[in-house]
Amino acid sequence: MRNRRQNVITLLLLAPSLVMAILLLAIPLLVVIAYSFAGRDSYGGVVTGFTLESYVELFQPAYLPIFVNSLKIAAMSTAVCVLIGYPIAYFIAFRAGKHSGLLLALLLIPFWIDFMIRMSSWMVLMGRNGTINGALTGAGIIDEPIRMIGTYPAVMVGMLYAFLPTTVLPIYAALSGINRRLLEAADDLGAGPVEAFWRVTFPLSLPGVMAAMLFVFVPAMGVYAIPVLLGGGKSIILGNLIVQLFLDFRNIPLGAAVSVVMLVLSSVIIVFYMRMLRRLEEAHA
Amino acid sequence: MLKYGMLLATTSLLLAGTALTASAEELHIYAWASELPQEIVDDFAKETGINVTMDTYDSNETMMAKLSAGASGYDLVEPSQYTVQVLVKQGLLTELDHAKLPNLSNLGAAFKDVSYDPGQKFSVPYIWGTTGLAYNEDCVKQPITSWKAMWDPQYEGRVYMLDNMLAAYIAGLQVNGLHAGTANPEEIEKATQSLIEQKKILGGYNSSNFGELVASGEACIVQAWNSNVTQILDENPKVHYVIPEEGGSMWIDGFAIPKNAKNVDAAYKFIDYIMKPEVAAKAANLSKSATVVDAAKALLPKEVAENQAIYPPADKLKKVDFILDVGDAMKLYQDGWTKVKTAQ
Repeated sequence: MRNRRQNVITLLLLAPSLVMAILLLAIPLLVVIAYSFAGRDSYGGVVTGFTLESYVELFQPAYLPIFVNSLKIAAMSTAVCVLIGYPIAYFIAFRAGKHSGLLLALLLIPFWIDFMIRMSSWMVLMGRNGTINGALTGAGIIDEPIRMIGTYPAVMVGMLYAFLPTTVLPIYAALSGINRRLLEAADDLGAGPVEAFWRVTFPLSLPGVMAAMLFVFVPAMGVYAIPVLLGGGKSIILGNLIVQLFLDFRNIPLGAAVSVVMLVLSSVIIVFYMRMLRRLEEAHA
Repeated sequence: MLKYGMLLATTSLLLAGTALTASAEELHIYAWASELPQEIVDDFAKETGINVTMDTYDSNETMMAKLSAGASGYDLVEPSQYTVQVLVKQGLLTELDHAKLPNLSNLGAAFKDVSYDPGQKFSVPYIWGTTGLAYNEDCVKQPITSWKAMWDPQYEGRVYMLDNMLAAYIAGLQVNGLHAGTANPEEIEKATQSLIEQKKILGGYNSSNFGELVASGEACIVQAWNSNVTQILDENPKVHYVIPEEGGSMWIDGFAIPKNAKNVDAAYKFIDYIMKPEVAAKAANLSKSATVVDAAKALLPKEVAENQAIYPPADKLKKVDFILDVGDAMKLYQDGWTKVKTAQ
């Protein structure tokens, strides 16, 4: 009896978020899936019904480069974020001492500022007459301003800036959970700092690294603003394609189909990844 | 299960309740960015007591997408000429009751019976302008007269095209000696190839702050809608606007009432308000764009009325293309544009 009452209370407490999840997540998702199977007239109207037209159109050669480009940009962003994020996380976990809390806070503060404003600030920084060029020409390092906006490295800078905190946090969490006595043991057994890192610290931090990679890779494929603002809109990825199909071409079914493919793609990656992660954790246990 | 049903019901009642509480008359405008000055909107709100909100867009297609998706919540939209045709064909506009628009008679003769909307059945022109290019003489040494400059490798990385399919194709077609707004597949393909080739030297695509890009020198040349750069031309004498010798294009943006608009009376009031000569003149002066109300033109200060970036000379206007709805050929443009956007 008591158990049942507890269940009811739990359910009631969960109800608001359940309703929210159904209204704002499950239903819209189902609507998107339904749209992806709908037909369309030449003026952009949606014709209800069931057709695979949009999926057939999607696998035309024109769209393939966007998928490839998205995967490339996402992979590159992940690599850059982890390579730069790992040392930062390591420093905060092992070397920052009592300042680690402050450093973590500093890492998170930019999140209080709107994403678009942060990206627009990079446009100011990297502009031809921007802060970086101004400093470099002022110091006499370069004669002519360097072109940064509208280039691939500018997109990478944007990605790094956007996803660095989500990379550092899980790696930091994994690193700070490592039992320090293991490192002392490695030292006692004659391992130098480099060997101790590669044979003890790094393997133990891998779950964090893998989580970080997932947190960057999946959202990076769908980022819309960074390729437009910092890349000049020249190299578009899935997020941009979806906007183009929905807003510019008024092709709601095709836009929905791209969204569904992207959803499936990221779900497959997540499931595959979770499995690997679990295997890794079992191996350590 | 019943509990969830009740919860759902009360939630939706709550939501419905908030939608019903609005009491004062309202008007929701969806207009082109930088074409309808906020001051005009505020004046109207003060005069009528109507609560006005305004959102802006930088492509007709975005606005169309919102309208065709269903309840957009907008009472007044500002489509360009070909967009009026598409919206009418989709049945998304209200047929206008001219009895509610006494000031319609102020419309200039040239805009009274436009080809895309005979008899002003669905739209009332508001302003007109041209699509051309703007350059900064800091990095462009000789005056530009042709679209070809936007393909010139000496400006590599500092050329920006409008991030707008049909606008980009104006340059892509005309640089090949063709007319903008064609429905001919070979001509569209030719333009697509030119636009792909151009991509190598582009700094990027931009249809929001291209005026600032060319003013700051980030860009040497930008493709431009004149109404977005006229303000900048005033402030920065180094920036020039040109209608290319290949023609460029002319556009007319006007007001229309969506079919599912809730505040139709307020929308009529606004259209009629903006047709008053003194209001049209103030709007044209503030937005630095060309008015369709003849009596308003007479009220404009000389520097606006004689500004060639706003009112181009007659010989230029003879050569401009006027883009109308291309019908099924739209698909060709879309496929081409996708190729352009994905080209490396």
